[in-house]
Amino acid sequence: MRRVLPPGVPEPDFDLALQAFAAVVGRQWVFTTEEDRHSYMDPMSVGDPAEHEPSGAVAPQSVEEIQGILKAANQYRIPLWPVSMGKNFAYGTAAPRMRGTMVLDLKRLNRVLEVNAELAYAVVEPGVSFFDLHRHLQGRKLWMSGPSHSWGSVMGNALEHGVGYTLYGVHAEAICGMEVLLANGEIFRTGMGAVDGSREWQTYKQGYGPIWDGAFTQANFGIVTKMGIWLMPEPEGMASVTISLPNEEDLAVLVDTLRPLRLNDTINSTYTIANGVRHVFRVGSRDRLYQGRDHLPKQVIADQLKKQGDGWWSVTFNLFDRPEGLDIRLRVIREAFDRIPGSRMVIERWRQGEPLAAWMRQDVGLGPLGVIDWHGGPGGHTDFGPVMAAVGSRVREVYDLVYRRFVEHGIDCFVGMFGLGSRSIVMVADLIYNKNDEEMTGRARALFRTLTRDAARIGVGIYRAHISFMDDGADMYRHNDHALMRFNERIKDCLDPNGILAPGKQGIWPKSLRTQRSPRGRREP
Amino acid sequence: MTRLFRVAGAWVSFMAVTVATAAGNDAPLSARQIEGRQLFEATCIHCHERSGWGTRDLARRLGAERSRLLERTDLDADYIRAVVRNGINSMPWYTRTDLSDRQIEAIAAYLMRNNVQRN
Repeated sequence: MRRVLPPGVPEPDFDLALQAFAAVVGRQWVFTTEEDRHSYMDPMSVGDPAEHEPSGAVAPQSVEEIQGILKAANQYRIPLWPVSMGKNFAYGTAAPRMRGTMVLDLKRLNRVLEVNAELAYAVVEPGVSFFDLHRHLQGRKLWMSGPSHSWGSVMGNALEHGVGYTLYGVHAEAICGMEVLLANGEIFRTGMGAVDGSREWQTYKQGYGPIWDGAFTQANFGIVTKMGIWLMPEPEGMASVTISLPNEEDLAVLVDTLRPLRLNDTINSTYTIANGVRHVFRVGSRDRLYQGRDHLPKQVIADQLKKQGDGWWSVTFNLFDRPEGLDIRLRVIREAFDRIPGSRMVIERWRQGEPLAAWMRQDVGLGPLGVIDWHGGPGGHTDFGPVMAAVGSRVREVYDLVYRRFVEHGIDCFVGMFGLGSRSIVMVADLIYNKNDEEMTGRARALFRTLTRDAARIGVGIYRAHISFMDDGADMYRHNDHALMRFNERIKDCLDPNGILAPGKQGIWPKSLRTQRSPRGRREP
Repeated sequence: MTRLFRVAGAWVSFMAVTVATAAGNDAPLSARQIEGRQLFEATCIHCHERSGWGTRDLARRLGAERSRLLERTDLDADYIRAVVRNGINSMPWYTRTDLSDRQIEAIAAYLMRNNVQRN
């Protein structure tokens, strides 16, 4: 049988580690066959998925079992890649950053430990999916904030800075209180959870001293085994607003019109801006529009938009308030957008007691993933996600740069932009490709790397990255000779001296494995 | 490549032993099939509902009449297992913590409820 080993680990040591893992979780929960290894690889890989092939996977069912695994991993220096559901499509799913890492599959820790209706929060384990939590909340008058596809983990999505469409749509900000396992097996609780007998663990984020919840998001300093997440009490009313603007040049005025409305909370949830390319994806398959391998020509997009009755830009957001409050918000929003020539506004409304409708995005599903078959499939995607100040000129500067590079590389520039808070916008520029087309995925990889270089030059960083590009993303954060990364690495080496937890996650490598860093992100030790 | 052949091989061997019938099967479901239905509805239906992504993909490849899994009469347990474990086209693969072998067998039993075996 072909085997994949962690770098620098002798085969006999690996075998001893597998035996130790099996003694902890049972032989049936240690997976090392080729089929099993394959099942943990990235099904949408941008390039050869074998670059991130794991040596196997181990699936514990309890915190105690994780502790047993950590003990053996430290003894034999086995790197572990913790995943919750392992469904972060576009970013690597369950596959590890470093080939040969063992996946620590936490899907079997799948309990909703608490739902508190009075204080509107839940406490979940890593293996609770949005499907699971949605089922759990039925009839409780509490709404969760879900992302566009629901297969992923509630915890994993929040830890990876995911986004939803309610008042709590910035999921990392909805985290309140964690239980964390350190690499040495020690358990600690963040915030008020450190007070024995606390009833405030999920109610007050700051605790006493440093706020540590954030240090365990997009990081490899520990394994989060329990997490509080704030939920939204069912609102008295809700409206969905979609505004379209006709021209590509309208982006700056769109952003500058949205910003004050978001800053003063008239718009009280995440907004999503979509460009014309994204609108024409509605036809389902690219060959219905255009057969060339280059970027969709502007005229083709313009003709299709006209046929669909769409403008080049749209923005969609939800409003949450009692009905009379919605009336006021909608009036203010309409007045603001009526000043932009050609703007059109479509409104849907709901009030408590009425059945939920699809536009409310309170249901669960996987529908949006269908866009990956744009080129006929089998498709894959990743995205370039620059963070931009919510100022029209800045957003236009970054968008123009991104669009130009997509055109140069012949990848259709499918863009959504998320107004997460009131002051920043995260662009999600999707790179959609046929995953088995080496030439196309090669262009996509080159595009991503070109964009990171270009964006860093104008002082822009990205908000997350596929495992193949984690070092590239980290390299954009260069202030004072990468002082932030050196700080991260000092913490890493202190908490995880054997370097067993998620080496390379977000570009953070332990001392023993820094040679594994990809060349562009490699710095002097 | 090996995995592709495995999926294709399962398909060919299965085609040799079953035929499709146009009519559905109204027989009550067995306990195994009921378990399979529950798993299908929790796991598969999001893509394999009438207008789901998986149904659209199958329609493109196999034609509309063979795109809806719940109406198929020509599915085979080995083929279903191979597709679920290894993925096919844009459908991602499932780990053994997503679905155990036993659970896949239950789903297969449910999806094969309308099959008619050739003598």
